[in-house]
Order: sequence, then C-alpha cells, then structure tokens
Amino acid sequence: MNSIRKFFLLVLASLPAVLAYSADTTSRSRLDSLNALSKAQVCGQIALSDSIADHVIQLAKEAGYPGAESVALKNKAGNLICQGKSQQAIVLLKMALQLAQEANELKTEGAILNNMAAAFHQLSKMDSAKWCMKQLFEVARATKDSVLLASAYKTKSNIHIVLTENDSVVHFAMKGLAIAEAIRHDELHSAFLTIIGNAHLQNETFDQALEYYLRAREIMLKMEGVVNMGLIYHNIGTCFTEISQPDSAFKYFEMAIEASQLQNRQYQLAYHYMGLAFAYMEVKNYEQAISYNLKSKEISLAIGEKRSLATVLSNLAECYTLTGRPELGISNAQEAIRIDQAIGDKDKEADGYFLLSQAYEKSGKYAESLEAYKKFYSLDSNNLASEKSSTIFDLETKYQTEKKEAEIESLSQKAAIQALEISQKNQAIVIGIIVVLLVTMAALFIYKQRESVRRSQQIELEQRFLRSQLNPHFIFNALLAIQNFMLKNNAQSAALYLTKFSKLMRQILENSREEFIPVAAEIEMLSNYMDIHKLRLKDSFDYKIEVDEKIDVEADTIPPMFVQPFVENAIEHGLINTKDHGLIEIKLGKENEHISIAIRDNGGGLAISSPELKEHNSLASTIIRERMALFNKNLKDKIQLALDNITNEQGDILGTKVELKVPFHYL
Amino acid sequence: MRIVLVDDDDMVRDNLKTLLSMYVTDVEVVGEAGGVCDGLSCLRQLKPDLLLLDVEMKDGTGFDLLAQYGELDFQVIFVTGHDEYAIKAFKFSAVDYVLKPIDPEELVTAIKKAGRSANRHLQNLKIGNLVENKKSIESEQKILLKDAETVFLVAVKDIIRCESETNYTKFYLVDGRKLTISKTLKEYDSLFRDQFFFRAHQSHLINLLHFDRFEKKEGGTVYMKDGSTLPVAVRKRESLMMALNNL
Repeated sequence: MNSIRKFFLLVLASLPAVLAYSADTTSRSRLDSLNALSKAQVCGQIALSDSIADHVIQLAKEAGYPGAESVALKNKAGNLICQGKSQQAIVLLKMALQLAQEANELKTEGAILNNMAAAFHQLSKMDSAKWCMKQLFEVARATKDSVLLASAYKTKSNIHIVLTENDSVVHFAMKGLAIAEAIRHDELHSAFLTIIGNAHLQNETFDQALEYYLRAREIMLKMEGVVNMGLIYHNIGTCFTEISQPDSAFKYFEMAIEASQLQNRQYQLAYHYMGLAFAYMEVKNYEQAISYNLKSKEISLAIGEKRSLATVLSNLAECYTLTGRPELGISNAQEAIRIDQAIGDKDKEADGYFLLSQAYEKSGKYAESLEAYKKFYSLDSNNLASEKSSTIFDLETKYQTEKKEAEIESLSQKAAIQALEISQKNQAIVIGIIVVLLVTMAALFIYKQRESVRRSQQIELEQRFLRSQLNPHFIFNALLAIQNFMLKNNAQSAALYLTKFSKLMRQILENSREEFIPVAAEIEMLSNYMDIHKLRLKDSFDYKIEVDEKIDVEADTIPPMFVQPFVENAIEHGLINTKDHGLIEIKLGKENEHISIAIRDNGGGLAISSPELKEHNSLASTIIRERMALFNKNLKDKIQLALDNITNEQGDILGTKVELKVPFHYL
Repeated sequence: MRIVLVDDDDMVRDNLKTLLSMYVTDVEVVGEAGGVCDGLSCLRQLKPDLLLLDVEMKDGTGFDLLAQYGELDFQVIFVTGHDEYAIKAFKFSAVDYVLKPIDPEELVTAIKKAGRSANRHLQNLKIGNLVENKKSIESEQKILLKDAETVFLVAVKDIIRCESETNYTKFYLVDGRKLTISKTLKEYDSLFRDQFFFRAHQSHLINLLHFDRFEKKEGGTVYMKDGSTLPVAVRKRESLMMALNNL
C-alpha cells in the first residue's frame, strides 16, 4: 500500500513541473503525456484527473489536436462512470467519439467505445451497449491491438455478468484471459480472473470462484497502484464463508477493510463490514455480527448510501430476531422496508417483510406477523411452489414435479449418452495423438539413421577419393625419378622435381578438404601435375589450358579435383599410343549455371586400352562417379560427365574427349 | 651375369641401369624392353641369366610375359611399385621382388641370391605357381612352403591350422603332415587374410573350412574337424562368431 501512496505523491509532485512545461510549448507529445497522467488517475484521484483533462482539452483546442481532446474527454467520462454518472459520461463520450473518428484515431475510438459500452451497461441500456461492443470489436480487429481487444472482452464479459449469462461471461473472459496472458498485461489479466471468479460466485460454484480470485490476487499483489484490492479480498472472503472456512473468511474480510480504508473507499467498506458480519453469522456469533453490521450502518449513513443501508438494516433485523430481541428486529426491518420502497427494490422489500414477519412471530404478535407474511407473499414471486397451499395448487405442483422429474431423467440420459460420446471421442483423439507421435518418432529415427549412413558414406568416399588422388604408382614413380636425378648428380632437376612434387602433395591435401575451390587453384594444381609427368616422360607431350574470359579465376569456385583423374587417364593410357607428339588440351568455359571443362588428347582413344588397364581406369572412374553422385545429391545444379572418342570423317580415332560440367559458386 | 630389363617406364630402366653400374659388379645389361611383346622377343633372342621384370605394363603384365615364355631358363626378380596384390602373390610363391624406388641394398641382395641358386627346377616351380595362382580363384591357390631341406607346394584349403612356435610356424595339413616353417605366424595371418582363416589366439591361426564346433566351457574351445582342440582368446569370441556367420 505504501507503494501506491508513493506513486500518488510522485504524481502530485511532478504535476506542477508538467504544467509549467506545458506553458511554453504545446507539442503533441506533451499533450499525450498529460493525457497519460490524467488516465492514471481515472477513478483514483478524480479531481486531479479531471483538472488535467480540462487543461488538455483547452490546450488541444488551441493546438488543433482533436486526438488529444478526444482522449481527455474520454478520461473525464471515465471519472463520471466511476461516480455512477453514466448519463453525463455518455454525452462526453459521444463528443469524444466524433473527435476520434475525425482524427482517425482508431485506438482512441476503441477505448471510447469500450467506455460507452460500460456506461450504457450501467444504465441497463443493453441494446446500446451491445451496439458499442459490436463497433468496438470491429475497431479492435482493425487495429490488431491486443490490449484493446482484451479490454473489449472485459466489457463484454461484464455485460453478460449483469445479464447473469454466466456461460457467456466465462466464454468471453477466457478469450480475454488468453490475450492478457499472452501480452503479459497484468491489469487485464487480473481483471479477467476476477470476472471469471465473479461468474462462478453467481453460479455458486465457490471452489472455482475462490481459485480464480486467488490467482487474481496473486497478480494484483505484484502490481502497483491497484485500486480495488479491497474488492478482491471481499470476494475471497465471501467464498471462504460459503465453503465454511470462517477463519479464512475473517482474515480476508479484515484485509479488505484495511485495503479499502487505506484508499478511503467508504462504499466498499460498508460492504466489507457486512461481509464480515455475515461470516460471523455463519458461525452463530451474532453479537460480533451485530457490532460489524452496526459499523457498516454507520458508514452507509455517513455517505448516504441507501442500498447498502437497506441491506445492513435487514441483516441487523435478522440478527436481533435470532438473538431474542424481536423489538429491535421489528424496527430495523421496518426501516429497511421503508428504504427499499423508496429505491423501488421489490425483492429486497419482500425479504424485509419476511424478516418483519419472523420478528413479529418471535414477539408473539401473530396478527402482525401474518399481515407481514401476506405482504411478503404478495411481493415475492418465487415462493409459489413452496408456501401457502390449496388443493389445486398442490395438484399443479405435483404435476409440475412429475414433469420436471421426467425431464430430468431424460436429460440425465442424454447427458450419459453425451458423456459416452465424449469419452469415445477422447479415446479416438488419444489414439490419434499416440499414432501421430509414433509416426513422427519413426520418421525422425529413419531420418537420423539415413543421415548418419550418408555421413559415413561421404567420409569413406572422401578417404577413398584422397587415396585415388594420391595414386601410389604416381608417388613412387615420382620418387624414383627424383632418385634417378640424384644418382646422376643432376641436383638441379632433382630439386625442381622434388619442389613440384611436394607442392602438388600440399595442393591435393588442401583442396581435398574443400567442397569448392577457386578455378585458379584447380588450374594451378593441374599444371603442376602435368609438369611432373612431363619431367618424368622427358617432355613427350605438351599441354594447353585455356580459360574463358567470362570466368573470374579468383572468384569463381568449383568442386575440386574432378578433372585430374581424366588428365591422368589421358597421360597414362591415351598418349602412349599416339604416333605424334602428345598434346593435352584443357578448355574451361562458362555456361549459365555451370563451368564446363573439356579435356582432349590426341591419343589412341578409349577402346585401345588393354582389359586390365581398363579395370584400373574404371576403378578411378568408379570413385569419380560415386563422388559425383554424392555431390549431386547435395547440390542443386548437378555435375554432368560425357566421355567420347574424337574421330575424323573416316571414323579413325584421333583421341579422347571428356566433357565435365560442374556447378560453380562465387567466392 | 647377363641381365635383361623389361619395364614400360624409361625412367625406371634408366634408374635400374644406373644402380646396377654403381652397386653391382660382374653384371651386364644386355637388353631392355618397354613391354610384354618386346620383352618376349628380347628374352628369346638374348637368353639372359637374369630378368628384372615390371608387373604392370601398357600391353600386359609381367605374369603374362612369363606365362607366354613357358619353361624358364633364367632367374626372375620382379620390380614393382605399390601393388599389394602383386606383393602377396610373390610372397605366396616365394618369388623375389624389389620395390620402387629401389633400395640399392635390396637390389644387391636379390641379385646375389639369384646368382647363387642355379636350381632351375625350383625357379620354375615358383613361377609356375605364381602364374597358376594368378589364374585360379583364391580358395584354390597354393602356397610355397620351405623348411630346412624341403620345398612344399600346399593348397591353402588343405591347411587345417597354423601354430606359432617362437619364430617358426607349424602347419597342420589335412593329410596329417606337420610342417615347421621359419616364418612368423603374423606373416601368414596377413597372407591368408582374404582366405577363410581366423586368428583365434595369439599362437593359433585356424582355417574355418576345417572348423567343427565351438564350445563355451573353460573360456571357449574350438574343435577342428581333425579332432584337435584350441583355446579362443576371450576378446576374439565375438569376432569368431561374426567370421563364422560370414562363411
């Protein structure tokens, strides 16, 4: 409670500064912040809130800012509604609505409609209230503002609670509750919990009511500046009374009293004392009940609140009659009846006569008692079934009862059928969920399995690929050549060869790790590779590498080392059978999504190779094909391969041609 | 000693000539050839004492060349790169070979050995087996085993089991013979890897074709078809079951 006080002090302290600030500038944001300040005090410090709102209205008119004026009017109306002056509130709200519509301020419009609905509802003009709600929901949906939508649900639930349509109340409040929870709006959250609690209270399902109230209280305790803490405690107290936990009820009513005293809410206080008294009546402690009722009466008299006064007088009458003081019972009941007649509450008046009748009976004045009872009977429309018998009436009652019983039986049968249907439905749903879960799990499992198989396949292939690149024949031949140069004291050639060889090893090791390498790196590796072969084969062949201008050798990247096995093939098996000087041509070109690599040699073609050599070839090309397949599985653009002999017009084989198309990326 | 070189790589032949001239005395390279065909005519013409022969050549293999030549009247040393199948084949038939790049010491040892052994019959037995094995399927292959005095040619499927005796290996054959060979069990373990052999124990290599049953008692015992029993190492049991399943 201290925090609330501090909050008020802070607002009051900052007000002069805000007002002073307002004197030299009339910017819109300042008006907005003033409105926010005013709104914070609505239904709290009403006078302060009103004076800020008036100030804003004046400034907004001067500044030509209808939006702010509209908000200020709405705040004033809010204060009027709190004071029960709904008629006046509606006048202001209509003005505010017009301004908001002109300014096209949808959110403000929503807030205004919400207040209007609340005001119409206070005046019991349900059609108008419903019309406002309809408009409000449209606006809320248009703005997609969760707070506004939730507030709309709040008002809607409140309307239904008055119509005692508890199912609808819970329905709309639950919707609002979901929104409030989702957007973590504590105020709305607690409000919806309270509304649902209220609905349960009306329904006399006290356990549930209590649950919702306690949840609401939980949230409200965390909030600052809560204005109706007393009410929630009161409602919790009522629930505890109804479920016969008087000690808890006493505690909560006392907390309610404390809270409302702090906020100086006399009207609420009157009811808190009545609640406390009622709790004491439940435990038959009538003396305590009387003393609390007297306190309540005192407050009602002080603030001139007739409804609460009438109620407390009735309560007192009952207490006095029960404790053997019928005279006091009579006088209190008579007083209550007089007030109820004045405010035109027939139900309460009937209750009053009933109490009066009992009091007279206790004091032995049977004639008066009968008279009061007759009055009670004529007023109370609900007691036809139970009291004052006549034969016809009895018969009718019997008939009615039988009919009701039959109805109840058929209803219970229906309910049983429905329950059965629901349980079957539930069973089906449960089975469905289990099946879906199992299928999902199985799918997940299979996916994981495949993934791991694919991974291991890839790793294995990568290793085989690396080994196929590091062909042992090639390595040992290279080393033998180096040995040979050394034996012949040709240190320079040995050093050159060794350098080229080690560079190639490094390139192969590095490039085989990458999925894509720059074209330049691939070309460098191929040149190096062919240079080594040239050195070994004593320049028995030449090679040419042509790169299309469209290829940016540094930036375009391709999958590495797809070309080398075909070059190796060309050197080891193609060129051997040529009569001319060997020539290997490599052309790189760019075609849409691919880089094409053509490898041509002027050797003996594909068919010449001996079966065993072919076997060796196919081993290397099997690995290439597998690697291509794996690449293609993961790539959008596939690698393509075409192998063919080059022939002249007579059909003589002039060499071999390999065409690779590989996808490329930009670095 | 008159030598002929057959290798399709000029560089290798050049290398061999250089090495021979530098490290071996009393040898003369009388001819060289770059393929199977050239090699055959070269050999028939020159009748050398020793042939240094490459395995894989453009127009065929060294095995082809020897098969086509028929009865050999010269010694053979193979020169090979990294061909594990060829090396295994050499070991099966106890044929001499040197690896590229050539270690001069190994070359010298191999040539000296060739000069010493003038046993043409043994030479032909070895090469004959080498060529035969090349043609037959694995289970039909024969291995050349030598003890102190005798050379045996044994079909691998006729070996029931091998037992380690320090640096020797004792072979138990189907006909009841027992041969003691001066090589380690480890060597045969790797030689028979592609056959149906299983290393059941530190000192036992068994041919699963002669496996009878496995009994779990006393930590696990294998019964062979000849009635012999062998222990199985505890951590080998599972892989024995797998090997039997794959049979």
